[in-house]
Amino acid sequence: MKRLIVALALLLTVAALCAVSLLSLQRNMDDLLSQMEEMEEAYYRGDMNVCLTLSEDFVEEFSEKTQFFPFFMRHSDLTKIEESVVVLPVMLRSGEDAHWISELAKCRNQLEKLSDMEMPTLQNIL
Amino acid sequence: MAITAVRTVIIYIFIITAMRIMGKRQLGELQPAELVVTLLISDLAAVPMQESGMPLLNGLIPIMMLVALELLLSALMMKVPFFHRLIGGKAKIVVNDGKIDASAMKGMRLTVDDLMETLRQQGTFDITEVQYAIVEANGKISVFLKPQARQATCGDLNRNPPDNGIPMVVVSDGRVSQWGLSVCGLDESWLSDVLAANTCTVKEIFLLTADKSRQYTLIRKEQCA
Repeated sequence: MKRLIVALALLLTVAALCAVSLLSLQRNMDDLLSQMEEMEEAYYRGDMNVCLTLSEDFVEEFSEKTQFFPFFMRHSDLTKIEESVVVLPVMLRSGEDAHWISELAKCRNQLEKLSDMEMPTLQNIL
Repeated sequence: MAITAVRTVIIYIFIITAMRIMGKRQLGELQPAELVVTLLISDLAAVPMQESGMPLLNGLIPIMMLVALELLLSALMMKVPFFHRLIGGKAKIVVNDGKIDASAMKGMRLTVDDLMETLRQQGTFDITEVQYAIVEANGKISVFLKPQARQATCGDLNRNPPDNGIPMVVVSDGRVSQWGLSVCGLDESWLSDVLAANTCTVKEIFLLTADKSRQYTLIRKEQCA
């Protein structure tokens, strides 16, 4: 009976860990993606100063919101996205506006993929 | 490097805990389902131990799941005999009343050489001495010899030897085993008497065994090479 209780406790722990990781991933990803949208809107308005401020904030937000992701995600996947994120304000400062919007699109795509890949869908399971 | 070292310690402790939770069955003869779990655990543990870029939880969560499933399955196997047969398989007789069952052996892909090898390992060199041979669910073969080939017991000889119980280790390398003493129904005062009779201290003893009849064997450290 004791072992049965341990088994159920283990299953509950795993379920809780999975739920927490998915919820944290979803919430943080939504925040990051909405921030990206704001940056994109500022870019198309031609408001480059706001765009730069948002980009700088985004770098900080990204490192803050993804600090717990290495607990359940491959570190190499996160590093790839981080590499794209950190160059965003640098590009704006050096006037590479055209490259900036393509880097932003790449970054968004990577974030969306990362989020999708963690979802326990049939496609991902198989 | 340091990450790998720390991860190895964590995974080592985790696996030892997992094996303890799964119980003694996991350390002895393995049933098919238990063998699968043991192999999977060793494999799962190795990956996050070596790859520092992989989250440690990716290795620990599958191990937790396997332990939980193994515990649930073994509980189910205990309660429902059908599951026991389905998952663990059942024993099969390959020598039935002295006759080899070739079809049963073929069904298990067991050759005569395999059977003879197992019999030899169990001290039986002549198959005509075997009355029953049973392949257990864990793959081991149990052998029951014909009456004329069996060793004579005290009962066969109408002898009634005294029941002294099992000889237990009471002192090992200068350390007293309270458990050994209690199994033999002895106590510290008996040990003191033995020490006084042999004029030695506990620290000087390499091995002291005793049984229920208070018979003991004492080997001093100085007697050991």
